[in-house]
Amino acid sequence: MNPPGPARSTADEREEHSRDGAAAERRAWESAARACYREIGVPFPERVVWVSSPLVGAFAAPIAACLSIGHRNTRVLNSVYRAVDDTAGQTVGRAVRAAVQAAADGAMSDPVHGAAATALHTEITARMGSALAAVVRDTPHEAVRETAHDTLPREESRILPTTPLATLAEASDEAVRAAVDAAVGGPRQDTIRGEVRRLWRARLDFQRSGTWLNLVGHFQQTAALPLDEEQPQRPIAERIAEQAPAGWWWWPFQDFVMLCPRPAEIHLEQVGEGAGATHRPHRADGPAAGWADGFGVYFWHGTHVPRAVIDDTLTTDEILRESNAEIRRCAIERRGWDRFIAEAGLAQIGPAVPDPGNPGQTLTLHDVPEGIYATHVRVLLCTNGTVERDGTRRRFGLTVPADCTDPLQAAAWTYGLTPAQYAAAQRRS
Amino acid sequence: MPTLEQAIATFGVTVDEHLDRQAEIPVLSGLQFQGDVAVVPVNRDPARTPVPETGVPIVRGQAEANTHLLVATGKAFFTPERFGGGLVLGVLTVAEDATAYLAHPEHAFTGIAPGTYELRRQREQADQARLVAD
Repeated sequence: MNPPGPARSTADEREEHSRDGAAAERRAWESAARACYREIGVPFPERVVWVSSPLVGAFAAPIAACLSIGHRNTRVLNSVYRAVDDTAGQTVGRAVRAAVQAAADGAMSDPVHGAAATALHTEITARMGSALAAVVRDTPHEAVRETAHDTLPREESRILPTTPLATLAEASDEAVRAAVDAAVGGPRQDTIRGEVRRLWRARLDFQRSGTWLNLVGHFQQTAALPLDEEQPQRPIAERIAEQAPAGWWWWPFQDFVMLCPRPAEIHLEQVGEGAGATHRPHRADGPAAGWADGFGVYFWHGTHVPRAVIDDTLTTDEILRESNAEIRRCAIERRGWDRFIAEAGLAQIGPAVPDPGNPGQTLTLHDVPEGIYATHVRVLLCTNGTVERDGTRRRFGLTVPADCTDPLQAAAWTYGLTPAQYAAAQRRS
Repeated sequence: MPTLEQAIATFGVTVDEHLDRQAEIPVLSGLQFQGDVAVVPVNRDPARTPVPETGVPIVRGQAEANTHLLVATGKAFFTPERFGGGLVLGVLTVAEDATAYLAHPEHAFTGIAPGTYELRRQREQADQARLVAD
């Protein structure tokens, strides 16, 4: 071992500090989880399992619960694990196996105990729900009430996500649900698959936004668990990640509890300036939120998109066939309209014309094949009037009615002007 | 014509750092555009509601960002279109001796000379016509 010396780099210290921070955070959340169990009068389980991402927990928790009830057909179990490998990848698969083992160890050899224990899961759900109701009723703390209100049962909460973290959490839910469906949602039936589905339907799918989380959030706020008071100047993403208990996944059973850390990295872009500035998830070269095991969710300027959109690996045909117009637009924007028009071979309609009021820039009009949009459209390729940070000007496409026959007419249509009016434009910024 | 630096100091609205602080802001009475907003000279009854000192957000961007904020030195009036959701956002009247501006973090400032204008928003033909958010 190296002797301790004064020459430790700040990077080492930072890493150690963040490790300590993560450990402290885990302790804090575990204490909060204990408080939830105490509140409803259920002994805290001996087995506390930290999973590496919500995806791992979403698979591991129902599988472990299933094993606890006594389903121990190894052949079936292995086929479920293979399904996880196939849909979520082997890294996730390995993590799921490890988490299941950690959670179900012991229960495997004691099916009677396991059955009785896991049967209490539904009861735990109900008790947590009423405990939260009491918290909300009794506390004057507006924030708790709002948090609880925001994320009470899904069918009641149709409000749009307001924080980047809530946006990321919702996207992660979606991604997790898709992966679980892909693995166990098919026509193939067996006991474990059936049980995983059943437990999902028993609301295991959205522990993130369910009532228990708010309960954890409540205890974290009130149980005197200071996370770190001495660091007011931490990165914005980190502070945002801590503001809300939403975004936190856990799977409470009587005989085990699974907890998932928040994302290891979060990428946000600032929109607006000063006091009005907000943040939204965005990253052009990777997941906007990523967990340690590689699970991540992808965003283009605040829109949740498939990974292939950000990796820019879709073929032109795949983009054109994408049924979700928002995702199609993000995919085209990610690629750039000018490149997309060239690659898709969109025929040019009429000649390029100078953009009035935007010296040096031109407008071109291109046909978009029918069947991509519900109506036949053309696309007008324009150039911003303002330079970007990198000195270039952003080129972007606007869809216009197919009866536009020249770029000027198309540009005029976008503002409801006549071509003659548009041609007299004095400035574009 | 004020410079970008002067406009930022006057209205307390800041814009992207890379934009030239010494650039002068043209103050025009003709048709001009700021991203997805058009300033269209019109013959219409003048607007009568004063633009407050804090400005009027004309188009709020996604998550409150990228707002086009209408501000003015001197007397300016803005009446939002009664039935919102269409292309016309409202009527702007800039009094003699006054200047109105649209401020935007990415597009900086657009100077508007005395006169009456419609402020319009840009649309796209998607599955049905929809408004553009830049």
